[in-house]
Amino acid sequence: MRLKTVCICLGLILTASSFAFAQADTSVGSIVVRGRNVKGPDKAKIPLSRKRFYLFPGGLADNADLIEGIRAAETTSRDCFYSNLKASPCFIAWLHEGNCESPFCRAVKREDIAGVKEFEVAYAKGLTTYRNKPDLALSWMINNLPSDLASGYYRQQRSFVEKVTRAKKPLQTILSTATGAEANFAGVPVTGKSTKYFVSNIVPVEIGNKAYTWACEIDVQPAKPTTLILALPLDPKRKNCVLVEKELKVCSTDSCKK
Amino acid sequence: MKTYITILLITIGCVIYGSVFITRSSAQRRAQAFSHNTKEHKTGRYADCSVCHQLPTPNWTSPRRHKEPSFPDVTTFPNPHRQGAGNVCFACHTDAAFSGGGVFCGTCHTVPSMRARAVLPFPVQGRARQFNIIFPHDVHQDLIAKNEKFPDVAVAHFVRASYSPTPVAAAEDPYSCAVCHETSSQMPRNRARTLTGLKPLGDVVADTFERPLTPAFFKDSPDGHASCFNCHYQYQYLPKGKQNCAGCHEMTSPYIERRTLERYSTKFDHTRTGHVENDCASCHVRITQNSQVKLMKDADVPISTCWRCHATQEEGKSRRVLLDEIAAREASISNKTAPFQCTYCHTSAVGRFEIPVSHKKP
Repeated sequence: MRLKTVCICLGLILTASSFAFAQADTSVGSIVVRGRNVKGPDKAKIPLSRKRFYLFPGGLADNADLIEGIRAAETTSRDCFYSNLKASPCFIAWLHEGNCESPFCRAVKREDIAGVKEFEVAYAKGLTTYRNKPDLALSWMINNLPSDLASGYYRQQRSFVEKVTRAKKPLQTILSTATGAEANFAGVPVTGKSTKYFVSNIVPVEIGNKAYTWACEIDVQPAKPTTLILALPLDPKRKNCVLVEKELKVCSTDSCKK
Repeated sequence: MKTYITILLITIGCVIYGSVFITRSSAQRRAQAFSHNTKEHKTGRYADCSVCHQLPTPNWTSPRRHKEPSFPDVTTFPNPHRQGAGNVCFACHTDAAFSGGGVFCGTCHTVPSMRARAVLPFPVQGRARQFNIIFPHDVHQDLIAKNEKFPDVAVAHFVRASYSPTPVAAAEDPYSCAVCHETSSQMPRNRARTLTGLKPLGDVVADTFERPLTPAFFKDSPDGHASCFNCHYQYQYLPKGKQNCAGCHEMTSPYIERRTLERYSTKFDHTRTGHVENDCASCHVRITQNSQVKLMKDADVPISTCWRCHATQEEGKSRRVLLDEIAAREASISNKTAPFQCTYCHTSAVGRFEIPVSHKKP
């Protein structure tokens, strides 16, 4: 009788420990996010270049609140943001020329200053502050731009992400490459044969007068890269992705007369 | 009794006489090291860095070391000799300069004496650093990220089927990482990274280099304010509540800065054709989520990013080199011959170790 009890206990311990080992059997995989036919009317611009993607645990169903948040959130286009700030048409045109979201994205050249009201003011302020050193006034111009013009759009995007994700913390966030070819999530934990993850750009990608947000689930397998294709238009047969498409308000911007 | 009193008086006299030679100021006992991390130096009036460190210092227009162009910067020690509000050291250490043979003077001067004139180059190289740098790569990359523009988009950028990165168009360099990380102009001190948890399979052998090691193999890291002030001069764009020196400088235990670059792959050439065309984030894939630079243990390049080009079965040695070397290593082990050492990426210091799990392509 006593032996039987001991055997049962031993059996239970072994079962529990093997279960624990199975749970701990975690390896890592990776996700490569790529776009397919994601092109805009302006063929010189790559819509998915340098866009941040977010990785959350679980599939579409587990992240239904996120999708709902993306659908509900109000989107302000880049042009509207700067128009609302009363940025000059030439400043907006300068951003467009480099396909920039903020003036941090490229260096202001000497020939860019004339005609762009914001640059002229910042340059003049720099000359005064930096003891009449034109090179410094030019290369440090960003210091003398109004804060909202310099980093306001970025701050707006941050608050957009916080509003949509609320308390949900992403497992990883990755910026796509400059060529827009791909974004790589490396070292993604995988338990067993595969694990479900949710990938989204959260902040809509502007293409023409529309804004697109992809929200997809993907089964990540251990050791090998799993590719997630973001297509435009989305194949209706694809059940693992939701594409949230919104019309953007058109904000009229006067043409720059330099 | 009288004798005891005499001895006691003589002893007291000796102690008093001897104490004259003992330095009373903590600064004097420290000789040349100044600590920011004392109660007196980090609280009260001195909690504000600008009490001691003027930005910019009046001498900022003077020529700089290494003939760099001058810019408004903190380029010298706080002036302890000034009277009034600028009297930052002698407000407390009034008698420090007049005792201990002028040791206190060595905090800033080349000669620690009352006759000291020349000051040490500021900041003093080789002294222990007392601050970590706060630098979130993720925020910076979001902000300076350029949505790359191509003059000719006949190439469909999103329809590649192969697992290989798309090269950056030659027309424009990405205005991102290169803003701070330039190609090295001088050969940095470098060595192979020390491996832990792996066993060496053979002895160290002489290294051979297909391409001679040049400074261009390496990238610089910012050192000083030059790279930061073009956007953050006078604490611009630092987070709210951190618009002061502490926005970037975080006090920590003193440490000697490691100036030797450590790499797993010493033979990796950033400027080589095939590497130079790619976006930095093609290989440093996780850098865009790094929220604090001090948390980075290394450059963080997963081997999977090398596989894209160097572990394929296509023509050319460099395309299948990882597969070939791993196969040769495993064959040498199973044949019980001298272990094949991996040399395409690694020097012998790394290549003689057993193959880590991460290198075994599924």
